Amino acid sequence: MTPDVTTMTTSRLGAPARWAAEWPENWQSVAVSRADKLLEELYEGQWARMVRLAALLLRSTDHAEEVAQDAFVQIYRRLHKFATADDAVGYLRTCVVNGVRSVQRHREVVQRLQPPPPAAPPGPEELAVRADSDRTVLAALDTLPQRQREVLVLRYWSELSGKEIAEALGISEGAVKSHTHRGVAALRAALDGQETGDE
Amino acid sequence: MSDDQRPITLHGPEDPETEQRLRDALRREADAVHPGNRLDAIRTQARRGSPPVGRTVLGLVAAALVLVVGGGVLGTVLLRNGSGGGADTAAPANARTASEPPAASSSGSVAPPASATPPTTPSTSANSAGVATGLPVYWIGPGDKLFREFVTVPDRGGRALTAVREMLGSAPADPDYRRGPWAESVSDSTAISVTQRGEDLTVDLPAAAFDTSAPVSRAEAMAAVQQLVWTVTAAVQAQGSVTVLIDGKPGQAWGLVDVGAPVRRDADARSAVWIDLEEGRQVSTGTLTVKGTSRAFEGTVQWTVTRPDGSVAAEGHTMGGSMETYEEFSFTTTLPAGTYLVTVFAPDMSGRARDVGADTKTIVVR
Repeated sequence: MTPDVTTMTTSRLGAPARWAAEWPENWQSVAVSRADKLLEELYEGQWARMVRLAALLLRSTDHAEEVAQDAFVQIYRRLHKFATADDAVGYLRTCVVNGVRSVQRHREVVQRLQPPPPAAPPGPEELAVRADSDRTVLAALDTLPQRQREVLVLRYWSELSGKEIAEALGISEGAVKSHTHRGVAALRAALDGQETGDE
Repeated sequence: MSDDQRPITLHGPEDPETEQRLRDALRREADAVHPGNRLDAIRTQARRGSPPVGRTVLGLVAAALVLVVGGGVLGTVLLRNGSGGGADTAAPANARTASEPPAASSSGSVAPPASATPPTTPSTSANSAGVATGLPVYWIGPGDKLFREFVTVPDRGGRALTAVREMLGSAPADPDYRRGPWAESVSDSTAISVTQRGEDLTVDLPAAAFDTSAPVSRAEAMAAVQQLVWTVTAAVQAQGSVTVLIDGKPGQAWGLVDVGAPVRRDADARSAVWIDLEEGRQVSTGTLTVKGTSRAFEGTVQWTVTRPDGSVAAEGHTMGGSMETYEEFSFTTTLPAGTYLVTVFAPDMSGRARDVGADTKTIVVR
C-alpha cells in the first residue's frame, strides 16, 4: 500500500525534490471553515465600505460592486496569508484601488473610441438630490489628477493614516503627504475659482 | 477675488475649511450608495476560479515543517502519501464539489456556520477522496525560472490532472510568480487528459490551452513546457518522461516549441534558489529557521532580511548545493515583531550580483 513516508530524488537530473508533509487529521475542515469564516467576517465589516470606496474613486456607482466583488474574490484566494479579517483589510483596499484603475483605463479607451458626450449629462447617480455645495466640491475633485483624487478619498473618506494610504496606493508616505497637500490646495483653488465665477 | 493671488501652499492640508467640505461631500456621496448582497457570488466566483480551500492549512503545515520557530530543527521534509498519492486515473470527474467543507471533526472550534457551507456536499466519503493534498504546482518567476508552491485543493480528476488544472487556471500566492501563457478558461476542460505508463506520463491539452492573446517569448514558452513537466511529474512522483500532445497529436506549443516527443525535467529550468516558506507566513517572535534548496557557484548563498523601508534587519550566508546539484540550505535569525522580506540569492562568480537566481518571501513576525 501507500508507504507512510516517501522521498523522491531525481538524482539523474541532479535535482532532488522532496515534498511535504504530515497532516493533522482534520486539516481539510480547518482550512475550509477558516477561509469561509474570515471571508464572512471581512464581508460583514468591509463590503459596504469597499463598494462605496470604489464608487467614490470611480465617481459612479456603475461597476463599483463588480470592482469590490473582484477584490473580495482575490482576497478569498489569499486568505491563508492573514491571521484575522482585520489583517486583510489593507490588501483588500489595494485590490479595490487597482480594480478601479483598471476600470478607468478601460473607460479611457472607450472614451477615445467614442465621441465625447454633449456637455456632461448627469448620470443616474448624479440625479440624486444633493446639496449644491457637495456637487461643487465633487466636481472640483473630478478635475484633479487621479493620484491626488485617490489620496484625498482615502484620507478624507476612508480616514486612513499616511502610512495606510501609502500601502494602499503603493507609493511612499512622502508622496502621500505631497499629494494631499497639493490636492487640497488645488481643490481650494478650484472651489475659489468656481465660487468666484458663480458670483 | 484677491484669493486668487493667495500663495497656493497656504491651502495645504492645514486648510480645515476645505478639508471639512470635502469630508462632508464624500460622506454624503458615499452614504447614497447602497450595495447589494454579493457574498454568495463572491464564494462561487472564488471557488470556480481558484479554490482557496485548504491552501490555508497546507501553508500552515508546510511552513511549520520548513520554518521552525523557537529553535527546533526538523529533519528532511517528508511526504505522507495520502489519499491521492497513487494512480491518478480513478477519481470521479465531479469530485470538485466534494471538497466543500465537511462538518468539522475533532476540533470543535472550527465548525463553519451553516450559511458558509453550500449544500452541495454529495456524500460523507468526500472528505478525503475529494481533496488533493499538498500538491506541488510550479509557476514561472523571475528569469523565466520555475518556482514551486504547494496547494491543497478539491480533486479534479486525480492528482496529476488536478495539478495540471491548477497550473492552467489558478494563480500563484507569491506575487513574484506568474501562471505562464496558459488560457485560464480551459482549466476545467474535459479535453485535458493525463495518462501514466510506469514512470512515463502523457499530457494531452486542447490547442486552446496555449494562450497567444499576448506575445509569448521563446524563453517563456520553453519555461512553460517545463512548468507542465515539473508539475505533472511531481503530482504523481513520477521520475520518467512527459509527452505533451496538443489535441492528441504532436504540435507546436504557442507556435514556438515543438512538443510530442518525450521530455524530462530540465534541472536548469528551476530557479537556483527556492525558499521553502509560504508567502506572507505569520510567525511568532523568536528564532526563525528558514530553509530551502539552492544551487550556487561554490555552494554559497547569501541571505538578507529587510524591513519594509528597505533597511537590513539581518543578513548572512550559508551553504547549499553547488555545481550540478540542488541541496538544502538553512539559516536562523532572530527578529523583533514586524513585516520582513526574506531574500536568498545565489551570487554569481564575482560574489556580488544576484542575477543567477533569487527567491523572496514576505513574513510577518508577531
